[in-house]
Amino acid sequence: THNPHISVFLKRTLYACLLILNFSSGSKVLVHFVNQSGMKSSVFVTEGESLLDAVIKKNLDISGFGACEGTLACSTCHLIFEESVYDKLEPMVDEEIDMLDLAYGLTKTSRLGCQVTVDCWMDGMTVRVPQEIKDLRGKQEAQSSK
Amino acid sequence: MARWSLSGRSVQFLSTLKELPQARSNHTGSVPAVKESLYPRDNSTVRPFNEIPGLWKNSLANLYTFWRMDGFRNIHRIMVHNFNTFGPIYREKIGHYESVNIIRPEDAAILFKAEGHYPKRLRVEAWTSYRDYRNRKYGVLLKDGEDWKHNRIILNREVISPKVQGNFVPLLDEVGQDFVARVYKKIERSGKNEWTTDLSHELFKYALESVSVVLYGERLGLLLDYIDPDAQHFIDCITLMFKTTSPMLYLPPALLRCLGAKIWKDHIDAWDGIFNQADICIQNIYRQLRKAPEADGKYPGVLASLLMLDKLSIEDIKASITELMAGGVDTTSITLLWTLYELARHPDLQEEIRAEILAALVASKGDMVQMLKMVPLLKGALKETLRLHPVAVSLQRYITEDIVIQNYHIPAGVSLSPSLMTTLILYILYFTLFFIFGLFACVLSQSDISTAGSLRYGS
Repeated sequence: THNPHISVFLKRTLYACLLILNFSSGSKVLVHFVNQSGMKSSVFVTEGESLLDAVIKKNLDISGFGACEGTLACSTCHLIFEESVYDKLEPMVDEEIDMLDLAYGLTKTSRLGCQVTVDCWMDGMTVRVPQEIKDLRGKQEAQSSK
Repeated sequence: MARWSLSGRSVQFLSTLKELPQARSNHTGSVPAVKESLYPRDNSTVRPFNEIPGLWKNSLANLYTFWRMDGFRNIHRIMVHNFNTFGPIYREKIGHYESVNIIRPEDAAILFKAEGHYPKRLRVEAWTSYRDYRNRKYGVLLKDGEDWKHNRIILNREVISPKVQGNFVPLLDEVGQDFVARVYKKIERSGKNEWTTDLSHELFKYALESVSVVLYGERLGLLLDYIDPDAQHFIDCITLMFKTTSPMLYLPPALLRCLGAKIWKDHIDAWDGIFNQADICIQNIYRQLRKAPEADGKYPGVLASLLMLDKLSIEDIKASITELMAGGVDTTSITLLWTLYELARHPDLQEEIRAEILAALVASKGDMVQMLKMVPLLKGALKETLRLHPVAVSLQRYITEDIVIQNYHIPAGVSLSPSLMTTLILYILYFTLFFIFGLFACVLSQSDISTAGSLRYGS
């Protein structure tokens, strides 16, 4: 016969174990990255790291990402966020705005990854880089007209 | 008066640009701007490189014509004329200098997209020739490839990163205060409650003092009435260096060196003076670091930080520091001059900016770093000045892959030059751009200049 006290006890023990695991390894946040070819990578990012740190640590295949290594001297860590996430991000400082202005494929929900620190509420979000559609047509024409 | 007619033509040219659809405004959430601008909208065949308009067939004749037109002093007029004659893209060859020139922001975007991971800038042969001649290393300005990237990343952290900018603020504030005090003193001494001077010279000294204090943590004393002869010699060397560079963009330095030309000798002397000054400062820092490392918690300057960081060789550090110093003077002083000129033409804007700064000073309660985050109109004024009067003639890239601009095919390896003199967009310039914010904020943060009487520029 089913004993309600035992199942409650088990549930609580399980919950406590999960909590302990979380504290010992730092809160992990699930983030989905979509690269320039549309390829999706889902990784766990430690709370408090920047999205640039995440891409570097997990060795994600995003071409030329983070060229200036987080010193706000380029726009290669440009990421596009979901609107609901974007609206809740910390406001941009002037230096980020200046660099973001020069990014390719800029959107209304764009930020620089090196300036966004991962937080628990971002769990499950998707970020993407501008899609690049490789079109060989232009290059072929150029070849034939040389 | 000729200059006024030039800006009339520039404005006309620019206003037609405004009617062109901006790549970004056509952009929807999912279609990247890259795709639109990389490939021609009409499906016509791309035209070959050799069909690009321009005077590029007879480089010696072009050189002669350039000289006749007093080209070195009229580059901006020549550029406007060429774009009006040939259209938004043209190719030129003057002496041994060859380049494809573009002007539209969309075309510049295509260009920068093809610059690769190690953007290759214009090789200033005069400068590299000096270093080869004296067996000195190239700094971050002249390096290429992985070596450039390696040095640049490390320098970014010490010079550009927002984390270190707070270090520069107190140093720059001190210089700014001294400059303003000097202005007041000059006004007082004139007895007429005004001071007429060649402001470019004063701002030059101001810029040099500022960049030196950031790099070396020490003042050169250029804002005093009596200037150390060595410091004066250093200023003269920088001026001479730039002056002798222009002709050597078009005439090979190697040729001039063989001929024993005066221009080459002057160029060598100028750089010798600049490097000697850097050497002296570096030795001073070394001495201080050995005597008392981490003394009194004061920020010791970029050079000392790099030496202590120990991630670059001493020769690499010296080379880059020297180039940062040389590059941080004219850019700052001329931009400041233009900004003051534009503000003189817009006294209402002066009042608004002054009010903004005073409000920011109060709100930030003496925290200068915080204050600098609260002055958007001031920053906007500086950016607008740079838009109207770009500090560099052009930005160049040697492209790493074939591209198509204005329906012409351009093969990899060609040097491209978007002209900044007559274009709308703001480019990333150099480290010194930050200095401009700091310096100018300091200048304007003092009680209003207007009560000090008129500041007239010299001829």
